[in-house]
Amino acid sequence: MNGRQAVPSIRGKPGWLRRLDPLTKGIWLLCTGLAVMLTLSLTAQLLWFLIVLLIAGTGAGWRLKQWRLFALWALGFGLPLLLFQWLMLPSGGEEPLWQPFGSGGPTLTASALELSAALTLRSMTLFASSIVYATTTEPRDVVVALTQQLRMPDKLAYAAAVALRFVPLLLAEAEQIRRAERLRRLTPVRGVGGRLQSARRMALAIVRSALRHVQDVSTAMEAKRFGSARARTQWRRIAISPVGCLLAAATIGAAAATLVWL
Amino acid sequence: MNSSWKQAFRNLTVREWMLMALLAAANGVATSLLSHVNKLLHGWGGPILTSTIVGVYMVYGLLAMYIIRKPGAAAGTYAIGALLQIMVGTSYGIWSAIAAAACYAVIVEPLFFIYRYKRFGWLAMLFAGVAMVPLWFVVAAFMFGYIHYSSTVLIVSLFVRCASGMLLCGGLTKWIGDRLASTRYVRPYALGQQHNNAA
Repeated sequence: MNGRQAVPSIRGKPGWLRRLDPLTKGIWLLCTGLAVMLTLSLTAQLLWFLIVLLIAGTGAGWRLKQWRLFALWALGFGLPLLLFQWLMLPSGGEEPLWQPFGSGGPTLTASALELSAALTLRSMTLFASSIVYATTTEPRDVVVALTQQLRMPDKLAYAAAVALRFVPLLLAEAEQIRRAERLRRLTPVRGVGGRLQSARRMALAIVRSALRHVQDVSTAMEAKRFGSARARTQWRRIAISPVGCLLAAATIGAAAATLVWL
Repeated sequence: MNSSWKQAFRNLTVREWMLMALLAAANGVATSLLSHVNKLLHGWGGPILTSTIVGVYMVYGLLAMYIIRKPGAAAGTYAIGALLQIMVGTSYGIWSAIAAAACYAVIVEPLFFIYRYKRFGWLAMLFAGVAMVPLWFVVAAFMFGYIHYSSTVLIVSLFVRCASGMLLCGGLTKWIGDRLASTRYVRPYALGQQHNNAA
């Protein structure tokens, strides 16, 4: 895996979601998560999943490749989970639809299928909404929104931004160390013990080289007197758009309606 | 955020914040590398199989506490980790990122406050690894619907999680921390200073 894959790309066709501020989109994300977690109704789960897909389809600007990846990921995870839960969830003494392992084995009932489908859809909605948010939001806008609108301590918000910068760096470092190790050894590692030893060597090498980066970055930040000013000046400003407010208000309303009626 | 937490965060230096950021990033890398495995385990084995690797996700905050040894080190690292997951996207949703970070921090910080930031032996670390598990397990059980499984599945899952927390979180943190203690990279932190004083 390379660094580009680890951090979601926000490039692609511009969709309306990309123009929204991170805060109102964050309210959408939180309310969607809350609504699906507080209900077990299959109808509600299905509706929320379709709404997230609709929002992604119209506003995220995903390309066909991204949709294919999402579908592969959702099916590869969703189908086994649906079957596993259908088998494992209690049948409640109901008439079985099917007994795959004979009369002594677990029974597959309609109520277990309904519950399993609701729980699977809940997981898929949580996953999809989070990916939609990440692929349509600039991380630096999130940091600005956290410090400006939510009054989060600068050090915490900027540390998160620095952490995001570290991710591709660490992945590149890991790849470099892995290649160097392979060149030095020339023969492939065999056996569990050999693999464990190799993983141990590599983990320590990565941690040490990453700690070197910490020293460089923190020295540079201290030289620039980061965190010493009482009030931080901001070059970027995040404006809350009316469409964002509308999306947030509609999601809060929909979440409340789900909890009351579904 | 109350004033004591603000004070704890203020006492952390820029160098310490950067270390916390790095550990959160390392967790982000591990999470993205393990997410396929984790989803497969969840899909094919539900809460029991997912529980086997749960300890790996908790290492970064405990390792920050092991190296920095100050109030707020673990909570800050878990908070950065949660923010990073929100920005990058998480396969379990935003609430799981926030709730997991909060559950781990709520256990680790008081535990090391009771230890007065002085007990970092094998027993203390293994216990910390186990102690971090139950609260998040209960929250996750409601969040992902594990509560609908039979009690046997839940008890086995909790047991597997505790074992994973003890070995893959507490044990691994102690092992990595001890390997780093003698290196020059941790000299500015409490771990390196205490190691030098002891040597």
